[in-house]
Amino acid sequence: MPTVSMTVNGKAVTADVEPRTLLVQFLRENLRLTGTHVGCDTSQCGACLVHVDGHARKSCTMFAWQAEGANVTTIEGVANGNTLHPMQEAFREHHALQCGYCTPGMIMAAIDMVNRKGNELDDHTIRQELDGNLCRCTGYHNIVKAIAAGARAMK
Amino acid sequence: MTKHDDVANSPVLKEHLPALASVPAQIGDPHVRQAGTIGGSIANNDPNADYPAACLGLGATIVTSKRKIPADEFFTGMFSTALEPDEIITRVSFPIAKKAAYQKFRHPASGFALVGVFVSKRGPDIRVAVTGAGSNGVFRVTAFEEALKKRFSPKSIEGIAVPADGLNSDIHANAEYRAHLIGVMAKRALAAATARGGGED
Ligand SMILES: Cc1cc2nc3c(=O)[nH]c(=O)nc-3n(C[C@H](O)[C@H](O)[C@H](O)COP(=O)(O)OP(=O)(O)OC[C@H]3O[C@@H](n4cnc5c(N)ncnc54)[C@H](O)[C@@H]3O)c2cc1C
Ligand code: FES
Ligand code: FES
Repeated sequence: MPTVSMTVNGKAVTADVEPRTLLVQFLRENLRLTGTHVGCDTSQCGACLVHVDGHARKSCTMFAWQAEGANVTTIEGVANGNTLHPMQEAFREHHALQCGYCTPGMIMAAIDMVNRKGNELDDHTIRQELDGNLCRCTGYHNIVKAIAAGARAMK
Repeated sequence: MTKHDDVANSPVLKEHLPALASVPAQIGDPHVRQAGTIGGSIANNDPNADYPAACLGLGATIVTSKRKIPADEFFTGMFSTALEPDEIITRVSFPIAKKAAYQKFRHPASGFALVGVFVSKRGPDIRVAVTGAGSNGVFRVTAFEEALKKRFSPKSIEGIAVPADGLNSDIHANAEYRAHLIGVMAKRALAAATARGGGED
């Protein structure tokens, strides 16, 4: 089995995996980082979003070996010790989750959105940018509010 | 191959061929656009994909590890192309057309084209390519192209019906509805192309 090596949440990791291992499987099953979820496995829902070299990627739609040598950040890697990331804090403050299944992906999408689009995000931009993130519970309103607030808090 | 996002945001394309830049801008969601490529899209030749319409509608040339294939010969049917098993797309070359536009009727859930029409005029070469509708994948509407030779304007195709024969019927839309949409989207594309390209040519 081929060996893959990458940095995940600042830690160097190496493992022997089958070539067909998806990045999300590698994160969840090899590294036991189960904050990254699988909602659809077909690139539709965004529950599996992680950052690969600073870009949001659906980890169900890439092989682990495609992240060879890359810097991967998962939801477990965004807080600073016991202090939540401003975007996590905004989701908590604005009650932007119910069951929480979509939340890790939403937060990774939101941080990527701020990185690309800046700290002042209007509702229209946020909703358009969330095209690839599905939530079956909240109806999105509070997620949109949380992202706008989290974006400002990230300044 | 070039990612959807890179084509959509290319300053060169936005200046010289904005119609082409507009195609990947309408594909999927931001994360799909940061991962998917033009080569993957046209090699797959999904009957509802957007790029095949742009390639056929502009008369692109698909450059592979072995040869150059004109778009007219590349798309051979539903999920089928002229590619051989050991052949890989390395480049896609597009001619610049001043008058060109793409109009897509997005499926409200999947975002794929229920019907998408790409039109272009480059000198005497007039093309109207349709994706999403044909049961054999992307195709050209020669009746529209003939009518547009007189004048490249939405008015020229008024009253020309596209036959529903050979169009897809599924849970999303029946063949008659798709046939109707082809006319509507073609007129919108022609209006956009003439607005963009100005006067003659
Ligand atoms: C949620 C979602 C929404 C989408 N919405 C749309 C949409 O609205 N419109 C649309 O058009 N598409 C849409 N797509 C499809 C998307 O554009 C394609 O999945 C993407 O372009 C595939 O590109 P890829 O580079 O990832 O190819 P892959 O998935 O890696 O490859 C696809 C196929 O092409 C072959 N291939 C790849 N590159 C080459 C090459 N250079 N030469 C030869 N063969 C090659 C592969 O072997 C494979 O058979 C959507 C996809 C998803 C997941
Ligand atoms: S699990 Fe990856 S997008 Fe749904
Ligand atoms: S909170 Fe349940 S899916 Fe979004």
